[in-house]
Amino acid sequence: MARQVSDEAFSEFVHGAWPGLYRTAYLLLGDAGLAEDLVQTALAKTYAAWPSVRDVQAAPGFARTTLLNTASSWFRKRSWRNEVPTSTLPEGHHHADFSDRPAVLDALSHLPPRQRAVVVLRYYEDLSVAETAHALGVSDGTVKSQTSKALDTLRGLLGDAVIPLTTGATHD
Amino acid sequence: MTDRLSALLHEQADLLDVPMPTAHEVITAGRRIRRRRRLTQAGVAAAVVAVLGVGAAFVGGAAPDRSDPDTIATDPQGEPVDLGVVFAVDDTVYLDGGAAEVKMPEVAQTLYYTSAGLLVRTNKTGDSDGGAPFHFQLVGADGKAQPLDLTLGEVVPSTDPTQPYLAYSEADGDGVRVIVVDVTTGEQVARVAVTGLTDWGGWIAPPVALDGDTVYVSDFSHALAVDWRTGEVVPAEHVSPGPPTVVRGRTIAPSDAAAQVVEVDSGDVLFESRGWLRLSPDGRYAIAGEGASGVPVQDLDDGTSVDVGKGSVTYGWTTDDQLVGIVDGQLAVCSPESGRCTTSPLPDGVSSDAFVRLPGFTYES
Repeated sequence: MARQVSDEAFSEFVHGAWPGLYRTAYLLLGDAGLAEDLVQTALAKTYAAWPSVRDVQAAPGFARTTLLNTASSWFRKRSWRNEVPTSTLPEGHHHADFSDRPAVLDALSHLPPRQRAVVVLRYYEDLSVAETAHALGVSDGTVKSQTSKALDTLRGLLGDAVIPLTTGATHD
Repeated sequence: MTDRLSALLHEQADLLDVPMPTAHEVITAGRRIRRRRRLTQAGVAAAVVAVLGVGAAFVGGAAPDRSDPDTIATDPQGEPVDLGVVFAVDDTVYLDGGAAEVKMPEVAQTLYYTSAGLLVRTNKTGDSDGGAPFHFQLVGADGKAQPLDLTLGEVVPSTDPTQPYLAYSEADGDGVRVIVVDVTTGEQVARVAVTGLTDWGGWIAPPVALDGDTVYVSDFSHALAVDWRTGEVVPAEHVSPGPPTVVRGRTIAPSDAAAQVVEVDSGDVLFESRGWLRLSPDGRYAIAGEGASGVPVQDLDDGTSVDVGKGSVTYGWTTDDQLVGIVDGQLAVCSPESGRCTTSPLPDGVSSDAFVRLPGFTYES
């Protein structure tokens, strides 16, 4: 790969990578403005680190890893740690119709940031426990316990039809 | 199964209104980051980087020119090799809670987790003061030890459990250099010269802490953060002077109460303790001094605390954040979440009053 990338080539890369990164960022954060900030930050870091990217094919993965690392560092900040999810579960969400698409995002908003991230990385990004732990800078055990807690909460909101009681240990 | 949840997440994500990318703003921000790094490199400290295999050395503030970017491209972080509960007594390293053992050629003085295996620092007496020369053995996943071609004096080296590297510093009339060694080959992967460190006490070079791509190095007046992959050296504003402790971006700093856990990037205080603190291998937990009803262990992510065991015990850590110590002459492994411990007998030949060395301690005096 060239030592530095042309503006035109990097713009093309941004346009290609942006939608996927934005969707992941939105699921992680639940806020359009923050998601946009996160993607922009990750791509800016990718631009600055371009000489370290092994080749063009590796660039999307590099940007995605950078996005997850950046999100993880945001979660580590005290302001994120202290962010409390909606404490009272909304009435009527128990056994919600899982075809009701907004219900999934609503349910995610009831999770603490770290639990939300674990759910997104494991069940949207399809990362393993070890990969999720690496991305978030925590232990495998933490991922497993956070997954279990998150699924318990989501099960209460979305119903057993979406998350049967036997889940959790099978997805690795 | 979580297939339904996964499918719904994808359906929901596909329905999101994705804003148009702002490539120009991204590039502008990227240039700003790059410029800031260069200015920082030029303004703070002179750096000399030699990336072995490339053989180039760069003096002054310029960023290292790399003829082969692959040699320093970001490596994926690994996990520490799991050898079960490990500890050492005299010249024997015990694995799997004592089910297996490895003989060392000298006293096993300090145990370090790495992603390549358990790195053991050895010397003739087991003492740190006057204990040089120090040698190293790497116990791999197969439970066998191989010597590392490295001899160090009285310095404070450091590993990151997710990486196959050992960092240390050396000093002579020309100044101080931070060195990173691949523990699988013994080869130096980075040498970075730093300036401005003058007084580091009785060690022959300043103590260091390795955390990811950063080696923190400090004397008794200030600390520096060295990006050993790029040679960038910046002040570590939130790392205290003196021997540094940094684990996954968290550091231990003195406070009015006694000690506190601080985020290195932000300076945010995560926890304050009346006693000393010692971080777990992934930085999630901190042993917080001693308590009458057990050893307090703080979960830095959740803000909860439990007392582990009963009475005052010196605990080390397993690779997966369990506490390990000797309780009533037995090997105790304790959960940082429940505080409960399971015990097992010490291996045959190890007396209950033996000096048991545990991972998590540097055994520096």
